[in-house]
Amino acid sequence: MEDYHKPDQQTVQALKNIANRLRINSIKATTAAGSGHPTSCCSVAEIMSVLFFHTMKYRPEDPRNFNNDRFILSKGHAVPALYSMWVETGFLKESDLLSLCQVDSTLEGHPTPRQQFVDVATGSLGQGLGVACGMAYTGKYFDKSSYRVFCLLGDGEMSEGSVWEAMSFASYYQLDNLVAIMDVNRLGQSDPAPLQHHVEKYQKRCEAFGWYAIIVDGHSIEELCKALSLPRHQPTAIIAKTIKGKGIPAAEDKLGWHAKALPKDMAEMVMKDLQSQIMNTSKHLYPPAPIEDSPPVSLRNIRMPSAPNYKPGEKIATRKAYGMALAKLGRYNERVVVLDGDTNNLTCSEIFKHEHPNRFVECYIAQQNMVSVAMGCAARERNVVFASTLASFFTRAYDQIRMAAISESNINLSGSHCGLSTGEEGPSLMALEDMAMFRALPTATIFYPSDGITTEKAVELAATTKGVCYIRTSRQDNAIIYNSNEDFHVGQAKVVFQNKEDQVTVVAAGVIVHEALAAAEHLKKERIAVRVIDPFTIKPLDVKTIIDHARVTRGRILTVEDHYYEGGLGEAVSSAMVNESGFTLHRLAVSHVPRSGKPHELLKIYGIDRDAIAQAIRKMLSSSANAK
Amino acid sequence: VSVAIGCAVRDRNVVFASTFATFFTRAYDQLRMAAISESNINLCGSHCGVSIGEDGPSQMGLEDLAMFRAIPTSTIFYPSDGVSTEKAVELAAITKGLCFIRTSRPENNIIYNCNEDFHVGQAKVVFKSNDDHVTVVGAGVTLHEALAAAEMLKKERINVRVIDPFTIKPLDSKTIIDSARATRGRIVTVEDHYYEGEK
Repeated sequence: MEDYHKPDQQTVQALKNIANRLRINSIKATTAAGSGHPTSCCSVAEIMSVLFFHTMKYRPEDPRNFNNDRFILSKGHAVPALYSMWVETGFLKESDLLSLCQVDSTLEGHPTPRQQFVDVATGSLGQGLGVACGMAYTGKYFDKSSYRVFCLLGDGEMSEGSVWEAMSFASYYQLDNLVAIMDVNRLGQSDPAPLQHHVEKYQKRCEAFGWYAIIVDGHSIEELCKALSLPRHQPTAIIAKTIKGKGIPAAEDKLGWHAKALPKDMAEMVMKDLQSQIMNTSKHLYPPAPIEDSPPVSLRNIRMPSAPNYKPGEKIATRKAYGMALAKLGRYNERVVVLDGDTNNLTCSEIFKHEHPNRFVECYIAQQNMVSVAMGCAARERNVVFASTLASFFTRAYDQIRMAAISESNINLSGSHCGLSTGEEGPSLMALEDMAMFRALPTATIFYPSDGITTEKAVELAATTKGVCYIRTSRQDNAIIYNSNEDFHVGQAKVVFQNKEDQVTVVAAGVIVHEALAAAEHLKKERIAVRVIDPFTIKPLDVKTIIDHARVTRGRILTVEDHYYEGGLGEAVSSAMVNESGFTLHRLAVSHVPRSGKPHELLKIYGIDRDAIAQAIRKMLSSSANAK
Repeated sequence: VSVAIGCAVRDRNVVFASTFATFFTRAYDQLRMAAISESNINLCGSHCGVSIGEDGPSQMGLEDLAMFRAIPTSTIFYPSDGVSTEKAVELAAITKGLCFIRTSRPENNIIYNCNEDFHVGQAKVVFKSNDDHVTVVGAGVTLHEALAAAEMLKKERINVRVIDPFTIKPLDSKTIIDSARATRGRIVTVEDHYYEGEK
């Protein structure tokens, strides 16, 4: 246990000066931009100063160094305060601040990873603590090293449920290397935060969630230094009572100043006043160096050690193949980690869990937090992360997934029980909008494997493909349809059934491609030949292969999917073909909220089974014949 | 969103719940369950698209149309001026299922008359001539951009027809297709949203 060494008066004055320069810089930048949140920055000035120049151990010239203490600004709108700290370290130039929010500037209105000192984008509130949990978990259990993780939250965002999911996770996993600083400045955007300045209520809540919670005057350098230095055996919450707009007399503790840049003359007056409070001191502060005990990690050579080991005709559900593929990938790559939301027996991530229990992280029924923790584990390229739950439950975390894309995160997500084929459990557990959800994300890759072999390939490709990767798996068993030595690539479709005189091209994936193959066999007896294409990835879609084959089948394409009409495979094909002529595209999908039933009954009722496919094909052919 | 569903249950209230459009992604599971629950809640998302400006991508709604389109029972209003916004609110209040109204930050001109009739699934042609070469479909801020482009192009002797869909779902495809036929099959769609999952 270290003794606490009180900082000397010169240090305290230097830290006060940094805090006041933060105020000046935040006002200067936001007034120049005509936009931003200066009052939100003013309440955290002393907190940031102490964190960046007293508490945290890091190399300012190498912000992403894996030994550094980590910092997450969960209250992302206070980003000018963050920029100001990096100006103090010399990493940014003071003149850069004047370009805040300009369209060609790297200093945006909320933190983005364009800056080296930003690990994850924030701005959608309540998400930073979950990411901090992932970083702290990695530091304690995977890297087993000394770096600490600091997360600064606002009081407004503490109304978000995701914050409390993270609080539960942190204490459950005893993340004693995690510190959350709560800037309780009483005021939210349009109204005061519900608990206003009742810091004792915040303390009780944090303690109820298993944290050590200490109340401090958020503008006292001495109190902050002391609170941030004391080691604990639990995650620590520093509940800082602060004043929004501190240092701007007209705005201090007043409503109506959130997100308001100061008008020019007011800004000049206030900055002059703040400047006069900056006292000369001989002390030049520099952050202490990090402890270098984190193992170097390279994620370069992540690959499967051997080809998939399935035999033709063997039957396996793609969800089970996912679990087996994870376990296999994890066998030869020790930085593969897997998260799940109390569904590991359904998603089959339990197969990985049984083989590599130390790299499995149970996130319980808190999907928002699971996605944030995944991002934290993947930050600074420390791990290759897979997180799984039922596909429908990723809708719970769409904002986190959206922010993952903005953060340029490389997390891999797998959703099982997609579509009607979930069966008896009914619509609440069926994912019928997940392709739409992931297609609307920039940087996303969507794998929709149809058998065990493609599932294993999807896992391997996801592990090495940048951006958010999503693997959609199904509940039931299906036959192996590929050879073990077949090559698979992102954006490369496969023709799984073809003849010389094919009349229609059917595009389908997952369970439905098996229905399409059955329909094709059946139609063969009626002398109707159809070609079946498995897209493998829905995004990017192999439009060229589909168009080339559709040309051969006289422009006739039928898409069939276990998903709603909107935003899925059919719309992906349809929008890719919008400027092509000579094509007739028909789509089969689920048209309204379904019900419980046996999977094969549901496929029939909602018109996406082998009979519906065959019927649609007969209709397409008879209407072309009629047209002639 | 859950509280909205609770307030609307047993037909006790007509409920409107609003936040930034992009933050409805935080509640996508609850919205999905609202549809399965056959709830009649009305949601309004402001600050849609890149037109919000300086605050950056974390605050921009660029996937909300994709999200709401994939919800069964949903109706999506994307009004382009004050008059159609008021009509959207009135229609949402009496339309069953989930209703989503997408609003913008910047100010824009009133383009409709106060006595104009509006219906779910009915688009409006807001600019036309006898000899239009292209049909442009825009909504919200991009409708106003399209109108400005149409004025500019007029000087170059290029006539375009501009359509305001009013509701993205259901989409008035008949009006769009009829107009596109008149403009030799040429259609341009412009939206303050990502490409995917949209109209």
